[in-house]
Amino acid sequence: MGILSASGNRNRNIVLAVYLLISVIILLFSILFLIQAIQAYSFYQYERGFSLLLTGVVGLALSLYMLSVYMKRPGLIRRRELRKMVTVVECISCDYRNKREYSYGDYVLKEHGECPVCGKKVVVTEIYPEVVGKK
Amino acid sequence: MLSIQLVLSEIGVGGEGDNISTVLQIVFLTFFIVMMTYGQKIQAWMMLKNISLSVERLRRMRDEARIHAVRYLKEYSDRSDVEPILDRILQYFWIQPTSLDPTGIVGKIEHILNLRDERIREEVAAIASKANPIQISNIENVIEIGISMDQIYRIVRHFYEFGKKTKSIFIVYQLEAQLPFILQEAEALMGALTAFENCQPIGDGAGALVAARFMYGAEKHRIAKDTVYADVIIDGRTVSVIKAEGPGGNVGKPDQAIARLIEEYGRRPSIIVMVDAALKLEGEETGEVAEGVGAAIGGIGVEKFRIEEVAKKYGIPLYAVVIKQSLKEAISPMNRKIYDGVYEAIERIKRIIREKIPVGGYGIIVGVGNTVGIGQ
Ligand SMILES: [Zn+2]
Repeated sequence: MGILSASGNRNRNIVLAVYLLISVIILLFSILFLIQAIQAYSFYQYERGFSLLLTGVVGLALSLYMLSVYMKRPGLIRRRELRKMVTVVECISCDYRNKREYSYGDYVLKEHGECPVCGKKVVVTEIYPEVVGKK
Repeated sequence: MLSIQLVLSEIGVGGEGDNISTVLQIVFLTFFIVMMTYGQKIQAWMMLKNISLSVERLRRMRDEARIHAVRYLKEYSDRSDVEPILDRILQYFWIQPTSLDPTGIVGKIEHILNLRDERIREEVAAIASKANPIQISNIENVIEIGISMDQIYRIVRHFYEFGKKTKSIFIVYQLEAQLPFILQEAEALMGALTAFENCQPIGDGAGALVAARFMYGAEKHRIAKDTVYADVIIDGRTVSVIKAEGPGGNVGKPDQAIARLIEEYGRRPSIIVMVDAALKLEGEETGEVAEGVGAAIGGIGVEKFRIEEVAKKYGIPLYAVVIKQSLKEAISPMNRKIYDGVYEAIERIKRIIREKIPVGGYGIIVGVGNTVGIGQ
């Protein structure tokens, strides 16, 4: 939520680190409590077991929630698709077809020189972004 | 394990007095009381914190759009006061005519929108004195995006500040519910910026591309502002193909073009086929082609009204072919799937022409959409 959006890079990093540390500590303690609860129940100490169980479950829920907020923190850089514009040129009379990198000034149906196969006109037919990998 | 148990019993967990359960009970009770009384305010506060991030993002996008516009304008201008003029244009608004007396409102809307377009074009032409007509229409589009981004940011900020002031959960809910759509649109607009700057085709141009492929190689005539038509022969039928003039970012005036062909040139088409990009629903495939009847054209409705009027007056059937895409795809660089949709739409239109126009007859094809990056 909003807590993790504190501005200022140094401060933000410290806040994030402390936040993560607290969440992990709570998580560890909750797991401990839960183990204790199982032990208590196995010795038929129901009241002790119940309070340990309650504390453990509440702590577990809290720490998991805190961690989920951390994972979804704003400003996190996600992997993005890397795109590149390509231009497809085709001959108007034969099957010649060539895909190359887009260059400034290309537009669809622009005439683009002569066909290397038959010598007729070559026309830009498609300009589109192509995924070339991930960043 | 034993030492941990010792530590735990020392702080009272699971011990005989069991302090922790008493503390927990008090904590839960306080929690419930606080939630019952201040729950809505807390929720509103948390949501507002979230929204503030989106508002901030929209502000950054708006600034970026403005910077793009400034850079683009300066490229074609030798004036030093580009920025103040641009800031004035960015806040240019239009007032919708009153609908109290709806007779003739379409004409009024058209009049005011034409005025607005002319005004912006004049301003752009005055600043960007070194730009050619293609570049001027692209600059106009970039400025239109700047205006939209500015509007979006201002409106969202208004509701955000209002929600903050009133802490009203209802206002915050409304804003929160709208935000995903608004952000999606804003992101798409930012994608369109680069397309217009580089003069690359966008998804919305699918209809224009269909028309362009029909009219390629034929002699083109200008028929209305930024609009061209060409007569071509398809399977023995003569067809007038209308589209906006490319490769600049124009949408043209397809309604005026149709009206002029029919009323001034005295042509009597058996059918009018309109082809346009249409919004797909989530789950539908991009580039899917669908057919129907009616005037396939978006916008405020002026052109649609004019086309329907002409079609009704002369009893001409209106056929529609649409190529589906999302809002984002419509204003981003045209993707590969849309090209496939375009090729399918061409085949469908050829079939409609064979079915509905007798050999030797006459019809009209209209490619609707922004023709940026698409010649003819
Ligand atoms: Zn060839």
